[in-house]
Amino acid sequence: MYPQLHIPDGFLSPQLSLLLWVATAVLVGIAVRKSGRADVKLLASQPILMGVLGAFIFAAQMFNFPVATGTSGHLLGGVLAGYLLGPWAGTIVMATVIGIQALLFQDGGLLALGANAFNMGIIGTLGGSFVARGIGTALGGSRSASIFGAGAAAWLAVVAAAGLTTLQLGLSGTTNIAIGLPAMLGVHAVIGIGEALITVAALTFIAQTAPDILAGVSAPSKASPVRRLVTGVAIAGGVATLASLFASTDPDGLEAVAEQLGFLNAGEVSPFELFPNYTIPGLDGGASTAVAGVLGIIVVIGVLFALGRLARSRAQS
Amino acid sequence: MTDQHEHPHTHPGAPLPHSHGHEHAHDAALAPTGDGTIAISHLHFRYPDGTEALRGIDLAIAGGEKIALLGPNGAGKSTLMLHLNGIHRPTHGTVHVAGAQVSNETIGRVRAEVGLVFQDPDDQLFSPTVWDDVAFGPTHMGLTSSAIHDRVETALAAVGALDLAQRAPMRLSIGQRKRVALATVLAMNPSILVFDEPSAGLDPRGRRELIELLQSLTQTLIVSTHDLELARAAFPRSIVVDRGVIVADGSTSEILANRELLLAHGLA
Amino acid sequence: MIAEPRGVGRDTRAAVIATLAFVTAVALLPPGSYLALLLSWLLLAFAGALLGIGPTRLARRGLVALPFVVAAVPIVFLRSDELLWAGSVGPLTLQVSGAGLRIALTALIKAWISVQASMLLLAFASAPSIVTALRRMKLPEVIATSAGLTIRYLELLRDEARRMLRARTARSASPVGSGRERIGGSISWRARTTGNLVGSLFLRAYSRAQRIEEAAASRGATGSLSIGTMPTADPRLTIKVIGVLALVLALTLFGALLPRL
Repeated sequence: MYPQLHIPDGFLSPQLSLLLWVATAVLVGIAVRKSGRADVKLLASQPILMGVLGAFIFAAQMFNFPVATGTSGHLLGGVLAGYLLGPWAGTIVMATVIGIQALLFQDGGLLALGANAFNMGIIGTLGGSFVARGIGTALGGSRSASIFGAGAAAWLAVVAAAGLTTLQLGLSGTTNIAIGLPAMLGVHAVIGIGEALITVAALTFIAQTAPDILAGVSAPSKASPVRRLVTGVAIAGGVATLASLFASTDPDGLEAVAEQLGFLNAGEVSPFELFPNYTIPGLDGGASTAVAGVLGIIVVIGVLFALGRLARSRAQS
Repeated sequence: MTDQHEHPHTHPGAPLPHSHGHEHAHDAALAPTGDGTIAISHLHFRYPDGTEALRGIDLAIAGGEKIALLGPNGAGKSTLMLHLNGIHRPTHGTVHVAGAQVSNETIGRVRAEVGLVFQDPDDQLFSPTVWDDVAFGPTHMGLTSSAIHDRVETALAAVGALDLAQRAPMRLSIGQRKRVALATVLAMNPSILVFDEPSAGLDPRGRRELIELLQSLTQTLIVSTHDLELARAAFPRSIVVDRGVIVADGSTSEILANRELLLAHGLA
Repeated sequence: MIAEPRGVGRDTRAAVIATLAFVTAVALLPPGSYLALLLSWLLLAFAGALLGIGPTRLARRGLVALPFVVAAVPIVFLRSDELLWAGSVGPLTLQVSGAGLRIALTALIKAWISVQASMLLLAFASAPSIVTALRRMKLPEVIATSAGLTIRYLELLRDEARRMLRARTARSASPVGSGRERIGGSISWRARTTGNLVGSLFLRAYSRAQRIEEAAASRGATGSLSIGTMPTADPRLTIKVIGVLALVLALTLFGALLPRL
């Protein structure tokens, strides 16, 4: 699959996960309402096309091309989806694809789904589409200008997603920003080139062989190009500012911020414990810990044995 | 019933009917060196999920032979074909193609030596124009642009599709796409051609044209098919595969006359 | 895993809610709650055993979460609180932080457990029935329908992609002869052909979508395309949900009570 941007469960602080879940849900909700509008003319009904293209994105992510010995470029497809379906329907499809990746393939956690869908779907597809349209319009609005815009936006989307992922991990205390951010941004700046090239090549192919489909599916919006450009630049600028802000802080400073925001739950002392300090009340010192340990292991092994038996009998029934 | 017509044994590296003489003057080293032979010994193959697809295949094919691969669905025909160009590697046993054993070291040449034409031409045609698709193989091989040009022209001419060169593959008929798919493979100058269900989806005229085309090819031909009439018309030797083993190997006319054999292995 | 998910054709909302609640409880455990994590995993293993999946098999399949450990490795070596060890290895001075180790290990175990939880959910309730359950829980219709279709056509399209990749590989040869040629083409050519593959697959997918639409329209579908009939609602859903939440609360309590390393 696509290189590790899908955060599994357990790595993000629950508060941050919740925050991003809410943000994603709200934006996807808006997308659902907007995609119902008929301003994009499609040759197949909206949910059917979206569903099949979701499967297409999955399949397209299998295509690779060797960059150097050992490494190959893969496709994420966020900006591609946005270009082909329009920003709102494209965002729904990407979010759904990321959700299915989490559910069916355990690629990314369920609680972290909000964050993953935000990084790759909202920022990647929604933001990326606006940036693409902005650039395309700024460069004259021709088909090749808009495809170039898509390529540039595709690169940006990959880098932004990588940066956001690292930031979120940093805020949750599970990675070190000083190391993680430059590393992730650096690696993904290169990976993003592959994404940009494939996106441009794919769109060029489609424009060449089936321009009618492209015209129908990605009808240029009637909204003011200035507004789109501004939106795109704003999103890109916001992400970049955030990234540089945190990159400049030292890890301890970041942790202080995170603690203030309540994201970290550093180990607190609990009011009372069942086995204080892993000892058995009554026995003393080291022997007590050892006995507790051995007892514990025996119990666990016994339980596992019993579970294995249970599993076999249930599997046969 | 028509007699089997044995094709003359020309050396399989021979130029295609419409090739230009100057192609060989360009670079003799690029002419196919393979002798078109296949030697398979004790081939076993098991899929990663444990299914045993091939259970001991022994096979010897001489250069220039025309062979029909028959058998019911799931017999292992496709699996066997995918060993010929190294897509699958044996779990046990060896596969020798044009004299060389298929391995990681030889895979680059094996792919040039064995041209596989897949069942669905859409799987093979992915470029904006027919020309680009046929040029893919030679381009990947790093040939000079004039060599590529010659190869593409030759290949398209051999299948009668020169006039389609600038068309988009997705707008062609199924018969045309099948011919172009063959051209994409011919452009690599293979000594062995392998087809997966070439007549599937063709109408009677398309089938007739296919047979004529197949008869014009001098390479070693292996065709996996359910179409017994196709086998009878163009392939003197037949190999019947069922459940991962070869159950019959011999003259097509004899095999097709053996009703018991056909029934036992899902061919009738 | 088992052949036919037991939840197929039934209301699987309870299972979905249970999984989410369980994963949330695990996520809420503070770093170092190894005992509570063990307890949670045993609970999960019990559920797995009920489904016919042995604990070792379950545990092994959870290891897909492992690659993400690279993200957490830096904090083990770069944090400076609770130093377990500090010294030099060759020209480098290294330190191992106990706090960092605790956080990293906890995160890893949580990820490992959560992956197993969602695998069990899938083993119990097939993907389509999960989508139905979500639809019942007010997932917007357009998402439910398109998700259902994506799931339905996933393998088909991935097979097409696989075949196309295979066909490309089969024509990716080295020349038979001298070795002076630049094999593989330039990067831009390779990117272009990969883009062509993607574009071709898109066109195939698009035509397929059109055919599905025509087939659906000819069978009288209007407006929303709901996949399959809704299974009858589970009458004991509320009780199950309450039970699940109670279990989860207990887990969280254990997380607070059990000693931590």
